Amino acid sequence: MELGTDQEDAFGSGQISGEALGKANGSVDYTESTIGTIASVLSLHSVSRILNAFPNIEELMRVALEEALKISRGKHGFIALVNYHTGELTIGWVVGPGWTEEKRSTKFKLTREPGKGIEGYVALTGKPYLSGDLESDPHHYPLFEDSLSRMVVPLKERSGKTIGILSVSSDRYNAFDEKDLRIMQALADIAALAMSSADYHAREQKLIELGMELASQTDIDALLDKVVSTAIEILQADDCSLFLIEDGSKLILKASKGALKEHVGKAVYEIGEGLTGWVALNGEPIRLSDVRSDPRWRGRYTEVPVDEIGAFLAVPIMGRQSCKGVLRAIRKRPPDASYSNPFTPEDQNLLYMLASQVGAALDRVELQERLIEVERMAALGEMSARAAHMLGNKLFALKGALKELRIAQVTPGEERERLYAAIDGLIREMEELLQEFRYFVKSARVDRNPVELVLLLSEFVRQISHSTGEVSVHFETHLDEAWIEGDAERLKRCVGELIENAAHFTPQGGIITVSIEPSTHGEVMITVSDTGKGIPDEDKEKIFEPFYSTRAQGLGLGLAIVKSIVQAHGGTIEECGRYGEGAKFVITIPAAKLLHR
Amino acid sequence: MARILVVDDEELARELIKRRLERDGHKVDMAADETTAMRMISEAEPPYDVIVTDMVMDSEQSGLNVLKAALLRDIFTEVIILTAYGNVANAVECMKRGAYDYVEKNIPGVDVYDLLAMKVERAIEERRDILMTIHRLRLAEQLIHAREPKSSQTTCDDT
Repeated sequence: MELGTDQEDAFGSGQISGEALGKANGSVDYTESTIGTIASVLSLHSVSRILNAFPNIEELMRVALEEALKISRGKHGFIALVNYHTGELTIGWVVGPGWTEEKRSTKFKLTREPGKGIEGYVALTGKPYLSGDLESDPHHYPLFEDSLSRMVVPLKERSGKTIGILSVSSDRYNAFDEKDLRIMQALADIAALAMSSADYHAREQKLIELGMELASQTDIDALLDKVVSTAIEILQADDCSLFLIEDGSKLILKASKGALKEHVGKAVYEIGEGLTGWVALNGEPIRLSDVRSDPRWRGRYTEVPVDEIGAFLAVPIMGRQSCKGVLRAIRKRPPDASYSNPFTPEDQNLLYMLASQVGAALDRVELQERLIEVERMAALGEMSARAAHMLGNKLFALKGALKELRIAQVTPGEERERLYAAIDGLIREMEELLQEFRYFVKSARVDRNPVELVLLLSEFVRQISHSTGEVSVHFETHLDEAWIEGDAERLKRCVGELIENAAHFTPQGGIITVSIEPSTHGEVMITVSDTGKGIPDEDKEKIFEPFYSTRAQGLGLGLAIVKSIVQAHGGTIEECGRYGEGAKFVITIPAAKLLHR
Repeated sequence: MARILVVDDEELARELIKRRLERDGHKVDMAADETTAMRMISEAEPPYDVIVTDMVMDSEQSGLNVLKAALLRDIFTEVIILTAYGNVANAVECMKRGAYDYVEKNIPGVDVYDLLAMKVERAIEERRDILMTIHRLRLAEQLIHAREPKSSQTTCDDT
């Protein structure tokens, strides 16, 4: 079913017009007179009931079955659905007396083999079947002892694919005629339409969900994994793999579920090589049943042994400017060789849509990365200029002081001591500048290991509290342990910077509180608050920008470094204190495990 | 002896410049920032002969602002701009706008304090020359004025 057609809208709103119904059934073979017959036989009331119940698939199937039985004066009826993976029909809805749990769980094989059931035969051939004398019917399988006649019609999708059957039986010989069969087929068409619509909605929902995830997630690998799972689900495929183009000439496997999973990052196609490479090269999809008969087939990496591949579908992942990779899915060959389960054009469209969502997401991530890189480079350039200027000034003073010492050897010792102290001070300032510079450059790179924050930070606060002078530092938590994947040294530096900052702006006798608590979303929150003045609302964003400083010394990178480290941990930082009541910095980092007291 | 103002936000630097210039026999005042410097310049009586100012202090334009204040107070005050790495363009801009010269703070192997002292001396000479020229011009003007009424009358009589 194609997207964006009238019927989609009609189904979407839970209502269906006669026009849409006629259009949707257009591919099924029945004539004007058939519609006339249905209208005459089914009471208008029943039809409207069916149509109104459209959004509710269960209700629709039940009504369809009841109507089928009533119209044909049959005794038993059921609708069974095809499972192409197992090659079986599973009974979904039943009507009539005497249905036991055992009978309901009967499975019909999709086969031409005699005696296995007319149902399986119809599902396989896709043609209606009428038998007035079951005892002499070659395909008949006796579900009920008293069944003497049976008619079975296929439930077909618009693409012509059989998704199930409607079967009605009677305890009379020659109970049904051609007219009954046509009415059954009309009912089956409505049922099939409802089924594929419900199915379509489920798929659409999956795509929307994935789209939302693609738009918000930043962990690309997890995202690609999710794409593959979703593709398998909506296509009812057996496996799916995702390749991305790297270095402009190679397709690297990024995600897969089955046998290829362990080759992620290792399986490589040249662009143009094999079916997958062809798709990447030409930017066009490939849909095949027998892969080996295609001259482009190389079979270098397959999700299942080549013999077992029953259907192959590969679509390009298109970005804004170029092909970014290939998304491919396979279905296994059905257990019975007499039928196949190929990918339909509709499957192809779905996978194509999925792939373009991936393409857009990749574009977005790329753009973001480039933007961050540009910002970083600009900051780095700016910082280098500033650092050079500051160091230059200090060196100038240093040079002067040394010269003064040489000339002034005759000057009193007191004067000399003052110069020495000034030189010491300058050298320390220069070292601090260089260190700040280095921290900033390195702050985006973190070495992540399991870290337990409660012990780490309580110990760190204990140590640092000796160096904050007249301001005291407290540590609070309700947690026993808070494990995250992180870089202990860098995290300590973050908290250290925040404490040092707080100490600078907190008057004597003030209190700085460091706390670790779980957030409402199960993350860990590290809060550093003080009893100073706090930060005005208009500055709350600016304080994290590089070179923003209200303090005379340094490059003004302190909070920019903190932010950079927190972000490298996949976390966020914000200042959410109220101006006049003290500053309150809250770091939120995804937690691995939290143990409550 | 000249009256000099040294403006630099690095305390030790301005103090060392002051010492160096004092050794040459000048009277040196100091300012730690742009605002203080501008106030001192406008209040100075007589005006400073030479002003040595860092280019980048409160802002990238600090040196330029000090220069403007200096020229506003006395158009013949000589201003020398000090620059650390990467601010030569600004210093050149200052020269286009009337600064006497600029000195880069970090020149490998060069005693910049001596270089600065030398430039200060030349600036003082320059100012002295200009003031002298002006002085002479004034004298000449006075002489001309003194003779003028007589000569013009003579001319009138002749015609």
